[in-house]
Parts: sequence; structure tokens; C-alpha cells
Amino acid sequence: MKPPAAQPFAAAGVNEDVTAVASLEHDAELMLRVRDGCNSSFAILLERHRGPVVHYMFRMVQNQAVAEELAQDVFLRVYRSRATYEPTAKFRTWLFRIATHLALNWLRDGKHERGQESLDEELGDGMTRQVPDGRPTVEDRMLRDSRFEEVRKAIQTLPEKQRAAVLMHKYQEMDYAAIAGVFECSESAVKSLLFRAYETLRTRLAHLEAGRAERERRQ
Amino acid sequence: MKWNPRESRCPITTGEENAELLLDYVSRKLEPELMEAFSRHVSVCPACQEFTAAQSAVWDALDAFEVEPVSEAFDRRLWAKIEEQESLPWWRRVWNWMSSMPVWQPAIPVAAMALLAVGLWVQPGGDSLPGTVTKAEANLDAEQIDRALEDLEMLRELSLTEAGAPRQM
Repeated sequence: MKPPAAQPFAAAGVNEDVTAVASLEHDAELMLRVRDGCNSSFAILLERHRGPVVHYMFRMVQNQAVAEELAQDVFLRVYRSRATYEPTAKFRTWLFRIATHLALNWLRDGKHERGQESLDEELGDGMTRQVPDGRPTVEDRMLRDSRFEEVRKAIQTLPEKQRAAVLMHKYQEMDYAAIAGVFECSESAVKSLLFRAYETLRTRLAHLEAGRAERERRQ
Repeated sequence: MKWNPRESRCPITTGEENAELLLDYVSRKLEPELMEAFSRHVSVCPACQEFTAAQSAVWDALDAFEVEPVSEAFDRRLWAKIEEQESLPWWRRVWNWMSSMPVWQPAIPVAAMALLAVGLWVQPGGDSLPGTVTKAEANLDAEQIDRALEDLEMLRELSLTEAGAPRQM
């Protein structure tokens, strides 16, 4: 096997035989090929999981730049671990275990305070987030931003582990077994964690539903 | 309004053991047969109606937490980091790998100290750690001291003898 350092890392080089391995369905198989020195397989894994990992990180740390840095660290660790990789768990579970570990470490290190300030400053200066928006009116946009802000804050106030569990359950559509695999705990513990988290969110976001019902009633 | 399971009269909503059923119903992940059966129950159970309505509202509200697209430079930056990583000497890569494993982190200082100790102990020529006294060395030192004392005694006697002897010109 050629040493990885001797292989081309430029995107063009990596993409050369992407199609040749694109038919591989399972992430674990791709990772085994990465272990054998196939960087194209890593490029496919990156293509598949880049979005979910960055978005998960963004919702965890609530800062896009930090989320991307942490996500890069996730993939870097995956690549670095290729030589010792054994498909004992689902690749996605393993990936999100690394991601969750990094995100929780970042939050516990207190780095989030600085990051959160920057996000709050950005939103507090009258700027709005640039999110895909199909609605034309200013009122709709303001309403959407307001809801985003309410939900963001509600999620931010959850304990870190509950936050991670909700994000994996709601946005990554991971089942209880997969989330339990990430936390290395029992499925019943995950269900309990989610139940408590959603109960907190029901309390914090109840006014959103009341407001929506009121608007619907007026219309 | 906060949903309070203790005020509910439906056993389904009175404990966390049914969390999976309730959450899966709201997130529409239940098996079709179970979904249909539970929907029939919800339609006649006020407690479950209240719970599922509140939870559905949360579920829908969470959709408002949208994300931004990943920056176009993400892959390029990652490959550059990988290339940089791969160009490091082997021991730096091993160190980085060990540092990245949380299970190893508490052991790293201990391992470093152990390696240092072994490195100092196993020196070329089999010399032991400076300042360390073995049993054999301790015995040797005692013999040396005895011998030195004997030598001093002999020298003292000799000098006395010399002092008493007539000086030769």
C-alpha cells in the first residue's frame, strides 16, 4: 500500500475514480477501503456526511464558523483512525460519537460563551440570518427569524446531552439504538433523556404554538 | 401550557416507559398498524390528544431551526489539513493520534514519565540511573571505605615513622 502522504490530495485527483467506488453502498465498506489507502472512498464518505455533521455541529455550538472547524476535526480524526478502523459499530454511529465528543468538549471548555456572543451580536445588530427563504414578505421573514431565534434559544438552554439527543433524533432522524450507540448507554436511557428534553421544549416553546393558533384564528 | 402527566388519566401518558410510543407517533415513525391503532385511541382520549398536540407543535416548531449551507472551501481546507497531517514525522502522528483518543489522555503524562525513566535506565553500556545505588554498589562502597580508612591509618603510621626517622640529606 502506498503511504497516504504520497497520494494526491487535491480535489481533482481525489475525484478521478470516485465513480468507480460510488456503487459501494455501505459506509463501513468505504471506510475499509480508506484503511487500505483509497482516498476516493474517503471523498465519498465526506460527500455523504459533510452536511449532516456540519449541521449537527452548528445546532450544537450555534456558530457556523466553529461548527465547520469542529466538523473538520471530526473528519480529520476519522481519516487519522483509518489504520485501526474495525467495523464493530455502524459508521454513522461512530462518526456522530466523535462529533458529539468534540462538541461536548467544546461546550464544556467554555469556548461557547465567546462563540455565542458573536452570534448574538450578529443577530442583535439588526442583521438577519441568510437562510433559504421562499417567502416574499418582510413580515413573514421577520416571523421566521423570530421563530428561529426562539427555537435556537430553547435548544441552547437544554442540558448538553439532552441537546445532542434531540438534535440527533429530530434532525438526523437517528433511532434510539443509534443514539444509544453514540452515548454508549442503554436505549431506555436515551428514551428517558429525550422524553425529558421534549418536555422542557414543550414548556419553552408553548407560546409559539399559542401565537400560531391565534394568527390562524384571526385569518 | 405545560403538560402534566400526573394530572392525566390515561396510563399511556403517565410515564416515561411510553415515551417511545408517544414520540414516534408525533414524529410519524410508528409502524402503520400501530399508528392506526394509536390514532384511534388519541381520537377518543383527551389526555393523549393534549400531549400529542403539544408535542406535535414542538416537533413542527423545531423545523424553524434552519441551517446555513456548508462553505464551499470546506473540502479544500480539510484535504489541506490531512496533507499537513500526513507530512508530519511518525512520532508526531502517533502523539496526535494518542492525544485525540480520550481514553488515552489521562495516561499520556504517566506514559511519558515511564518512557523517560526507561530511557534513562537503559543507557548504552547498561549503566544504571545516575544516583541510584544498588546492593552490590552499597557493599562495594563499604569495602572501599574500610580500605580507605586502612590506607589512612597506614599513611598516618608511615608519616609518624618518617617524622621520627633521621632526615637524610
